[in-house]
Amino acid sequence: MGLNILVVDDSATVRAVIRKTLALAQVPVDALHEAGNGREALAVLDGQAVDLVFTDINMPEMDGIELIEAMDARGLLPQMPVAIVSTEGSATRIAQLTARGATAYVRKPFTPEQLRTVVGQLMEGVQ
Amino acid sequence: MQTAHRAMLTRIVTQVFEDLAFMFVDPADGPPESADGQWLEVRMAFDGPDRGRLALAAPVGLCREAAGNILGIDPEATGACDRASDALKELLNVICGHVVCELFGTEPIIRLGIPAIAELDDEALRLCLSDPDRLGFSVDDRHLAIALQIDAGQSPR
Repeated sequence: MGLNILVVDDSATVRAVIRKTLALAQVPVDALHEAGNGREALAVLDGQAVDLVFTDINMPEMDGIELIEAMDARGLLPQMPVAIVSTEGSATRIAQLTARGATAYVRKPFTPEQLRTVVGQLMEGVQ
Repeated sequence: MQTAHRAMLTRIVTQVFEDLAFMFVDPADGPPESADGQWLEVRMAFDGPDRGRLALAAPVGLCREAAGNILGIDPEATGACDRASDALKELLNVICGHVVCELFGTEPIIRLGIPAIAELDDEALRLCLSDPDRLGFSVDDRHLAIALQIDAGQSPR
């Protein structure tokens, strides 16, 4: 059985790359939902079954930090793993996001192997 | 631009274009002999121990090829054409993330702006390519130019 994954990034190119990379990594996916910012992501989470979220940090309207906080407020964390996919490399930022509920971090640019490893770790943590 | 920053930026630009867009760029000896066609420029600000901004300019054809490479599709395909500006924004986004880590280390939290893209008119392009503070790169027979500005000591501490 595949995963229902939500990819949140204001770049349509990045969303397409993650979709392609998950396929190359042979991650089983039942449904892949996309959102361009945190607000759109919350709308998806309200209406769709989602097992795992990949989110960027820096987005207009509602950024990744605000999204994680909103997911926590809705009781979605920690059972729904959230992986940050970002260009930022601040250890302080990563620690901050982890404290708020993020469960993994992938730095851009990433390889299929990195994404597969992260998905495996996240789903093991859920089980 | 300081010499150390030029070296750092050269290293990061070549690495990001190679890793993300599978394009091998080389430092250019000077501005291109001709700059025909439409050019795009993406700008992005950062705010940390110092404030600054990056600007990356490239011809649309190069952006389209980068998009095609990133997406794994024909650069002439509709998808690549549609994503040309988005690809340039993402390239600068990744470059910026690595630049601020080099400048400030991995401890401080750096606020990154949202990349903003615009088409360069002839005058803006002329100024861009003649700017001595811009670093030029070439890939095949095409050119791109990047600038880094740091407002040292401007950020509230």
